[in-house]
Amino acid sequence: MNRGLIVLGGFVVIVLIAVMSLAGTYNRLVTLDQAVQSQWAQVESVYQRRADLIPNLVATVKGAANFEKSTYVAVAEARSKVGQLNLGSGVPNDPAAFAKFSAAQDGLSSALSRLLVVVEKYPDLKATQNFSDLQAQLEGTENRIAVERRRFNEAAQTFNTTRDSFPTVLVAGFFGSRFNEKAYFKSQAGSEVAPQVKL
Amino acid sequence: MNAVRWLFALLVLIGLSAAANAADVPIPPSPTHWATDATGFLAPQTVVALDARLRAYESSSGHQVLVYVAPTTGATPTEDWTVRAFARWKVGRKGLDDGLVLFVFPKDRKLRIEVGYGLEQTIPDATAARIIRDITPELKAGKPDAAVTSGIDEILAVLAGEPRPARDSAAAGKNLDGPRASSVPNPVPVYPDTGSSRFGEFFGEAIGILIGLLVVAGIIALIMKLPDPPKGAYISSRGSGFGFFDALNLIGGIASIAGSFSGGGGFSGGGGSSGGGGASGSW
Repeated sequence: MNRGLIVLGGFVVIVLIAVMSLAGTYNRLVTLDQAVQSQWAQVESVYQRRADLIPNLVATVKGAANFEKSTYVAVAEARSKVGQLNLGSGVPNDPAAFAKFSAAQDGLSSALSRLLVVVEKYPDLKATQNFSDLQAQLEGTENRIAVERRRFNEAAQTFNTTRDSFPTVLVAGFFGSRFNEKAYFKSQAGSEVAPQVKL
Repeated sequence: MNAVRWLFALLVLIGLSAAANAADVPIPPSPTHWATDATGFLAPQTVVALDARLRAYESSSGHQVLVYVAPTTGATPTEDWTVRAFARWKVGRKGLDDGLVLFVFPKDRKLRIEVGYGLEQTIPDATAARIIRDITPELKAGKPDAAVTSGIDEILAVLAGEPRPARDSAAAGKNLDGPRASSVPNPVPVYPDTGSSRFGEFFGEAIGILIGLLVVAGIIALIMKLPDPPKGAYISSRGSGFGFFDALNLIGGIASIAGSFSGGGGFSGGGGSSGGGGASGSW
C-alpha cells in the first residue's frame, strides 16, 4: 500500500516534470518562431517599398526619348509577378512558397539591374533630378533589402539551431508542421548587392 | 557522464567565441568623440572643430551626429560594415534611434551616410544621396577637410528643417523629404566623461570573465553532485532540477550582464536601430 503510493507519487512527479519541460521547450520554440515571423514582416515591407517605387521609375524612363522599351516592360512584368504573389502567411515555414517568393523578387532584381545598366546610355535622363532621386531611393531600398534578408537569415538560423538540437528536435517533431525548419535566403547575384551605378 | 557533457558544452562555447573574434575587419568599439579620425585623413584642427560642433549640436537638439574616418572595411561591403557599426555603437537615443554617422573610408575611397530609423523621414535616401553627390567632387579634388565639413553643414541644415543649400542648379527639384520627424522634447542624455572608457571596458571584461568562470565552476560542482536525470524524462535534462538548459540560460544571462557592463561607460546613446537607410558614394 505504502509502497504503491510512493511508486504512484514518483510517477506523478516524473510526468509533471516531463510536462513542464515540454512546456518550456515549446515556449522557447514559440518565442524564436515569433522572432522569425516579425523579421519576415520586415523583409516583406522592404520588398514592398521597392515594388512601390517601380511605377514611378517606369513612368520616368518612359518619358525619356527612345528609351529601350523592352527593358522597362520587363521591369513592369517582373513587378506584376511580384504583385500577384499571394502566398499568405507562413512563408518562412513553407520551402515551396519561400522559393516562389525568392524567385519572383530575384526576377525583379535582375530586371531592375538591367534597366539601370541601360540607363547609362541615356545621360540626359540620368542627369535629371527626378531620376537621380529615384535611383538613390532604389539603391537605398536594395540596401535595406540586403540588411533585412541578412537579419532574417540570422533569426532563421537561431530558430533552426534550437529546433534541430537534441532534445528539442523531439518536441518540435511532435508538433508536426507547426515548427518546420525555416528556409534561408541564398545569396544571389544582383540581390545581395545594390546595383552599383556610377554617380 | 554529466562532466563529459559539460566539458563538451564548454568547448563549444569557447569555439563559438573564437569564431566571433575571427571576423575579418572587426567593428571597433564605440567612438569616444563625435568626430573620430585615426587615419590622419583630416587635419587635426578640422577634427577638433567638427567634434566641438557636433557635441554642441547634440546637446541642443538631442540628435547624435557622428563623423567616423576609418581606413577600410576590408572584404566586407561598406554598407554591411556601417550598419553593423551603427548597431554596435548604439548611435542615437534609445527608442528614438535619431542618430546619423558620416563614414569615410579613405583607403577604399568610399563614404556613406548611415541614418537611424528615427531620422529616415527627415533625411530620406534621396537627400542623403544628394549630400554625398555634393561633397564627392571635393574629395576627388583632394580637399577632404572642406568635403567633410560641408557634408556636415548640409546634414545639420537638413536636420534643422532648412531647405538644403542649393549648390547645384538642379537643386530646385521636387521635395521628396516628406514630413519632418516629430521631435520629441526629450531630456538630453548626459554622457559620462569618456576619457577612461578604454580602461572601463577592459576592467568590465575582466570582471565578466571572472564571474563567468566562477559560475561555470559552481555549476559543474553542482551538477557533479546531482544524480543523473531519471529515465523517461528524456525531453529535457531539466529533470534534475537544475539542468542543462537552465545552466545555459544562466551563463547566457551572466554573459549578457557582463557584456552590457563592459559596453557601458562609453559613448553609446542607446539607439542604434537602422535598417540600412542612407546613401553611399565613392570617389
